[in-house]
Amino acid sequence: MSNSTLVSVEWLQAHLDDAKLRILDVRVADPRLPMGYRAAHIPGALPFDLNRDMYEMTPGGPRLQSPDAIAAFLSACGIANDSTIVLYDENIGPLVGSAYWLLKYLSHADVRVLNGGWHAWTRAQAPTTQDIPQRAPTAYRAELDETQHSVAAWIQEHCARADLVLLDTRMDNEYRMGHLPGAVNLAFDAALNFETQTLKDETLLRAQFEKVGATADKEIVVYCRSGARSAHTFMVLQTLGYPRVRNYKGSMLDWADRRGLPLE
Amino acid sequence: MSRWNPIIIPAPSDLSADETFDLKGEVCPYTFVKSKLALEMMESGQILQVIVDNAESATNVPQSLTNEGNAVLGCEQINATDWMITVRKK
Repeated sequence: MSNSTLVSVEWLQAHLDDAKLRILDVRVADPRLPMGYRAAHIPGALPFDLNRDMYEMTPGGPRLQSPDAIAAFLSACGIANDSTIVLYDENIGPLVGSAYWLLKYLSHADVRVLNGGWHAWTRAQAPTTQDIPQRAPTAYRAELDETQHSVAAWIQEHCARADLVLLDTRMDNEYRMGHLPGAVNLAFDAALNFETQTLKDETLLRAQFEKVGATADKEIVVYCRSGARSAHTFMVLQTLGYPRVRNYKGSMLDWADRRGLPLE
Repeated sequence: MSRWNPIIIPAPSDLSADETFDLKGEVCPYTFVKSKLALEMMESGQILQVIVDNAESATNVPQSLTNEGNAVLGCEQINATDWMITVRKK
């Protein structure tokens, strides 16, 4: 297998029958929208609903299920610790970013993302199906990798470091209404080519991040409102090879709404 | 007091929506992901009205849809809790 996080339709078509490959469909499932896994999906793919499969609803908002509960779900999907997981969305939006970050947080080594997602797959007239694959269960072991994650206390302890960048990935009007002290802003969707529904060219992406000071030699903490849009930027930075990126999953809901910490 | 301050855009009074999509109870990122998917079901030039029930979505959904090239025609608070965003598909 190649080492690239971002894979093309051609690459995925060529590897559909690989024994270690597992495909997860993270698209929205809304009965009002005639799309999503039930309508058709990539052969071999299983549905992956973040809210249903990874989070539990609590009075304070969605909370990540325990690593054991998530491991049980991944085991039932036939995913092993050495599986190559390919994720796809309608295009390449925040849902696939959230799933990517989550699997990296669970220490899964080999996670790929289909650039352009379902749109690219169907545009290329690649095969689709309504068949639901049956996989033999595995014994997945999930361990949280806290180097992929940040919490408020960690940010408060490290925010004065010259090699740390706080990157707010919300829209610029949200940023202007209040952000973490010292944070710079680059909206998550600045990474998207809206015409092709793919990520922008690597050179352009790198230039955009460097323009706001988020260079690869820095440790980057990304955040947004609830950690989903920032997870997308986390994914983009990892595709660019940034070695030190953390997603503040709690984001503004935790920093401002729950803890009342200062904004600027 | 909420720090959210959505930009109010009065929708034209003679406007008629082709589709209305109720996203009450949904939060980021599902609000703009589903708004975008609803637009994908429509023809260029058609008008979608989206209802959200939090000021944050009324702040970021219009900008997100604008970034994708659509024209936001209105963003108004329609009662104590709900906001109506009116957008013409590019």
